[in-house]
Amino acid sequence: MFLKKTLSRAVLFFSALGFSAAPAGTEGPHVRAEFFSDVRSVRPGEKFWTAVRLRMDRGWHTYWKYPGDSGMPTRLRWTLPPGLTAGDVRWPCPIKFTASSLVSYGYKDEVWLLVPLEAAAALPEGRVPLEVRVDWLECADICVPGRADLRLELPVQNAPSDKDASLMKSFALALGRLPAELSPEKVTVTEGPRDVHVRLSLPEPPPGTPAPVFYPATAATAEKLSEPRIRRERDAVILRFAKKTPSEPVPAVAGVLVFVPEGEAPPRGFEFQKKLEQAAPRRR
Amino acid sequence: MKKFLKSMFTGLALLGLAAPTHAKEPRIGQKAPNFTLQDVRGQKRSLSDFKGQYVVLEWTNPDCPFVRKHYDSGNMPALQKEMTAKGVVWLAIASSAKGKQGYYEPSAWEKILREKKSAPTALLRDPAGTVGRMYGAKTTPHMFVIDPEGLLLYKGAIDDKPSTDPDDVATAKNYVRAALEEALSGKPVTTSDTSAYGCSVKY
Repeated sequence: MFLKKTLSRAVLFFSALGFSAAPAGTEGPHVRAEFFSDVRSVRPGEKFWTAVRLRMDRGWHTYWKYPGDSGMPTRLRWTLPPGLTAGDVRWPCPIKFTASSLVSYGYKDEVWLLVPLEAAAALPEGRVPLEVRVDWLECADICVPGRADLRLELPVQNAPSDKDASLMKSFALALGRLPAELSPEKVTVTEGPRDVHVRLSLPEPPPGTPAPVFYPATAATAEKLSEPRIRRERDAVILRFAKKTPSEPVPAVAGVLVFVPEGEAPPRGFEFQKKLEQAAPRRR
Repeated sequence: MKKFLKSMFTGLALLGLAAPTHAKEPRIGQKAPNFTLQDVRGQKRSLSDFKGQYVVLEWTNPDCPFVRKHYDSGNMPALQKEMTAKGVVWLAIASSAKGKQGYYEPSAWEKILREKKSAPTALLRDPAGTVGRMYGAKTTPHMFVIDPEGLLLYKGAIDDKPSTDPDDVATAKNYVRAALEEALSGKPVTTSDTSAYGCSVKY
């Protein structure tokens, strides 16, 4: 409820200032796309956040960066003036969709795809257009491609970036839904002939937190490894993956471990990727 | 805390039970399993009928946007024509269950094939999904290439551009064409196993 209120204010805010928060171009019939920035003005030499928000009709979903057995990740293509650079999409923790034993990963209801933008120190004052083409696949039982061409225009000022309180809150909520990246020293991977053990050093979650779910982030992980058995130790979570084909080497393991607390709290995700040593003995 | 750990372990035990066993799908270099299905004229076709020839299996659903991309752009029909002219057998397989998207009666299929300028050797109907599951077909399209000895030579995507945009066809690397061209000229297949992309098969 609170979130909804904040968001409608965010949209109003854009309309009031004449920013084109409302999307142009064609969209999918069951998904609406909008474009936000957490600043009202860009300061040369600084980073700021932008977000593409997709709102999906009930029963429809869009996809995570690894879509699973079917589907297509939402794709962002930027057109930016010189002096502005877009980073990679930061994907919030996904959820799982299953149909006839085929699994896919994505989002329902609403998702904020966050992208950091960086303004060069030499960016001249004036106004900058930010344009992004968004392509997605929206699916229920059936799938329909969707597209939106979104645009924002912001002033460039050599002064502290002007921020909007309600939008800041929306961005803070969206940032809170991103998985934390686990640094390599917190991830230990051991490969046996038939399985792969992954040990993630993680502080103990709050009492009552249900068991976590593992989401493979690459096709190689999903196709070479079965769903893991997950075991908790005091300061770590152990994932044991059976290899689908014991004779085949597994080049790397990549994924997100997601704890979904009961109630309203957002999911807590931990993302990791680790290459495997290829020296492990392998059965032919 | 103890209670928490206990509930955590119960949850974990359940998760463990839900973990699937090893996949049984055919692997590269292994025998492609035989099957028999009816084509749109009701004629029975078996994989074993085509021993001695290269065979392509193409999982299809004419209403899936990924399939439409490859038909509206002419990409799939062109490859079908090109390869069948070289003696390759092309079997398009529809595994949509009755009542699901992509399920059509034989007469409707004949019309669709004409409209899409589709040119496979045969369109086989698999509404029970038996052959789709046997091969682990997950998407439309999902492609398989079988050599004259009946061994699986290629499985996976049609190309390297997982999108619904017909404009991507021109710049994509078509894995099926590459595998067949290599195999037909006596070379080993460079890329034999890729991740298929598309709509889910509507089992």
